[in-house]
Amino acid sequence: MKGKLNNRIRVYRAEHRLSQADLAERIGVTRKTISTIEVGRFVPSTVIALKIARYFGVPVEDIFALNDDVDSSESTPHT
Amino acid sequence: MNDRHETPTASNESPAQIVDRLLQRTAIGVSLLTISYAMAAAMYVISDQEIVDLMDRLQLVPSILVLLIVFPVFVKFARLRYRLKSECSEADGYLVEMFRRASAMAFSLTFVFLMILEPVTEKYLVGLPAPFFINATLAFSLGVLSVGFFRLARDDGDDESDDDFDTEPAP
Repeated sequence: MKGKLNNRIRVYRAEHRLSQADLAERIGVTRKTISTIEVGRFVPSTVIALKIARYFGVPVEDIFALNDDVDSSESTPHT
Repeated sequence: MNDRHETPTASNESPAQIVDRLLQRTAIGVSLLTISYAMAAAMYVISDQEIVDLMDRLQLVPSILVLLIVFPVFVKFARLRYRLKSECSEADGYLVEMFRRASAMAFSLTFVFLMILEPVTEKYLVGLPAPFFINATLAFSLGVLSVGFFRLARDDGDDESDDDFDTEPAP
């Protein structure tokens, strides 16, 4: 799977008025980890993704989603 | 996994920051070891005895620097690991992943290096002792690891923007 992982961390941070450093501290990673996830440079582990989702109190799919184009091409059945 | 604040350490660094710092220092240490092994290998092909003697003495410098750079953070990490074992075992941040990738790249390229070295040795490097090849291979492997890590973990500037949302007045 090489689909781009979109995320809405920045949106949720804005809603909660959190800086990257604050969020990083709360979920136990460094600010660099949060910033690279936000810009799509780093795909987080399941544990980090779940920690972020749990912190914001939403399902993980609300924050992370595969790019729609990739989704549709991958779901096309092979004949 | 709780939504709790990280346990502050004596220097107010979070466990994740200490792990990242250990990785950065380790990569610097690996770079220094690369120099040390490269010098050790070069001593077998340099014919000038004065230069060889000088390199022999200089070889100690990177080793001392490695100890000075890595050891203090390693002690800090070991203490942290002893106190908060779960925090360290969950370390899967950006730099940890980059170090893993660099290690995998170093392993693969070392394998390629050894495959190339075999025919080259038979043709051009006949008569050199085994320590030359061991030092050269270690220098190559550690060099790829450190360069790979610094290249993967470098700051491109595209991820450095941070909105300080909490400074905005609430509507």
